Amino acid sequence: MGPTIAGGQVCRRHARVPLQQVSNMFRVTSLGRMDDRQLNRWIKRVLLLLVVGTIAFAAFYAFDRWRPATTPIVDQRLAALEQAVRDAPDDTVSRGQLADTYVAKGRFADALVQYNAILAAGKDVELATNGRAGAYMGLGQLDNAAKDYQGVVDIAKGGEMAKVDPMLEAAYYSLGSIAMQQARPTDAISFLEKALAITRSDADALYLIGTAYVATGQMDKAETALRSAVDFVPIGWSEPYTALAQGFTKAGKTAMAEWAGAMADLAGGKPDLAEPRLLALVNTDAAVDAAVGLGLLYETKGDTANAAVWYGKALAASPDNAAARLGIGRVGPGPSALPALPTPGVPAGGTN
Amino acid sequence: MTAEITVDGMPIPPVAAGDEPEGQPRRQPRRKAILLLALVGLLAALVTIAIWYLLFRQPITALPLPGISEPQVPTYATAIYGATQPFGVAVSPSGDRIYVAQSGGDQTGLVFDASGTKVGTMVPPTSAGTQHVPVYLAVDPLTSEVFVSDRLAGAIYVYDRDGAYQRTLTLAQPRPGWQPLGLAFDSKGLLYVTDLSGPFEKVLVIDRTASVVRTLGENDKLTFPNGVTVDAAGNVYVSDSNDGRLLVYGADGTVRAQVGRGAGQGNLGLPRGLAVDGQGRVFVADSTGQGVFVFSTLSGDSQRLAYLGYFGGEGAADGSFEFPNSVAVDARGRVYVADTFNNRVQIWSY
Repeated sequence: MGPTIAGGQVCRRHARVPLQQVSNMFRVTSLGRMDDRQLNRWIKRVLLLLVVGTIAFAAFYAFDRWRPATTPIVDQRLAALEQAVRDAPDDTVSRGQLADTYVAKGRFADALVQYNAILAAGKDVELATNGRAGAYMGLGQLDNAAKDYQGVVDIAKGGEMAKVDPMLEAAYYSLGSIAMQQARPTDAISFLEKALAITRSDADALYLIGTAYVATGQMDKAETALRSAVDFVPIGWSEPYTALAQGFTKAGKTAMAEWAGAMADLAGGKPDLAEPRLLALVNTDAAVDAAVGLGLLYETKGDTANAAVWYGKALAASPDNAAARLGIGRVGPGPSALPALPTPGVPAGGTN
Repeated sequence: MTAEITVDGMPIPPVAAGDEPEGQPRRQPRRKAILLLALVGLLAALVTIAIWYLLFRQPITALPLPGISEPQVPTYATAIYGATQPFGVAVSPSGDRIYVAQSGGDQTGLVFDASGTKVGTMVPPTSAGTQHVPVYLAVDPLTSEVFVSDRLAGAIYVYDRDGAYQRTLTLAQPRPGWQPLGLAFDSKGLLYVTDLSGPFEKVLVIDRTASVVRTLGENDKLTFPNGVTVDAAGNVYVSDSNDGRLLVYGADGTVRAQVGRGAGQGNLGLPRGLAVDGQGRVFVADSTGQGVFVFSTLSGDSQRLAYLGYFGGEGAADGSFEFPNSVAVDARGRVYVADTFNNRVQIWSY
């Protein structure tokens, strides 16, 4: 009579097998025939193999995948600049670069020390003041930052290149940004208008002034500014569309608000949400914008043929629509066929 | 009918159910057997994974198992410093040799080992003149030789795997004034070269006897095609750099797909170097996009490259780029990017 398994239970045990007789282990042909000791022994062995194997494989894998880490370039530069400042404490150029690098590393307090040292020496005042303002911004000290940005404006606004001075433009923009953060949209508009007078294509300034116009209820100006912002950055930037949606909602323009909301979805990486919303608008006041939006949507998906169709519809309704013209210029004709090419040669021998 | 169990040839008498020690649950042996089976299963899985890894040397995330999904883009691993404005980069399949073409400094090619230590220099012979700018590189899969294009000299120089000069590629039908730029090999050893000379810019396909056997791009008005690479199906990817396009030529020579400038995902700015890995991914170094776009290779009759993702961004921090120009992949899931104006080659890994 052989071993029996009743109700799934092993119901026999047998004599202990000497450890040294490993070959005998393999004479047990069924788990069901193993007794408790055998099972324990095998569990321990397999567990040991598993643990050792896992550790060994993990170690090998980690070693095989590992590549030695190198010092980040910013740290390399920081070490060199710190040494340069130690070697020549009066070298304001190195000190300024060190302060800027501290800002880049997020070490704003260390940067402040360096900017203050430069300002105490009375050198590079505009640059150091601008840099210190950035450090204050990093520390969240908006009033101190605004004071320094105003200092930059005071220095730069009378300069020969004031109308094209990027630092002055950045200072005005930052003052506008601080004003918006402090809920002073009217002040923000004043600063941002000056920034845009220097750089009309600053999409960030256009967006910010658009939100300031929305906050002050100047919807026409807001729409112009925000549309300009999204003309420069049509995809991947949802905030201007969200601001437009808020403005259109305030103005009671339902279809346009829906279009802007759909475009915010599209810009936010949710084309599947945007598509039905835009398609629902093709027979409304927002038809042209919806058609351009659908063109962008299909372009985003890589469906250039469909994108061209929708840009074409937008142009048919509004031949001067710049976004549609730009869009159709981008998507252009689809893949074109080329004549058949000869069969390649058979690889043989080496090149000389 | 069950077999009789024996130990050392001696039959073991059956044990009655009631003979089990007191307090020992009757189900315990069965549970232990199940535990043992589970452990054996885990051990088998470990052995399978280890064998798979030894065979393919791919990251564990590439395992084709349910529940494991490989990330779409790699993550930053480390960087190699010591090259001045690296323009082109190539790598051996195992990743033990990394080749870099410097567009700055002494404008030579450099050879690094896997740890980032410089182990060689690639310099053309003095007989080839003194005006050289190495641009792109490719490793011959059949000989491990390194081919380096030098547009200024109108030549392709060939070095051994450690950087020793071997010869200059001489075409079977010479093309005086040719301007080789992008280089790639397919798995059969056919060399693909973008050439800026002549009435139209094009891609030349050169066989092992140095004969031009194909020309791509005759009708496509390519403008400074910098990068070229070939996938496993024989599709040829060409970066039409100054038009901001990535063109994909099918094995029959027709344009099967393209990605271009626009509003979509994978919107290219100035696509330069290209690479295809063994997992069906195309990497496009976009200089003005300050990063690398990742697409899937063409499959079936598809006319679109699926956008998988982007990595990078402008800056000097680890993982950021300043005008990356070239990209290469090894066979172990690593991506090498020539971060030109940060003077380094970044290594990313899946």
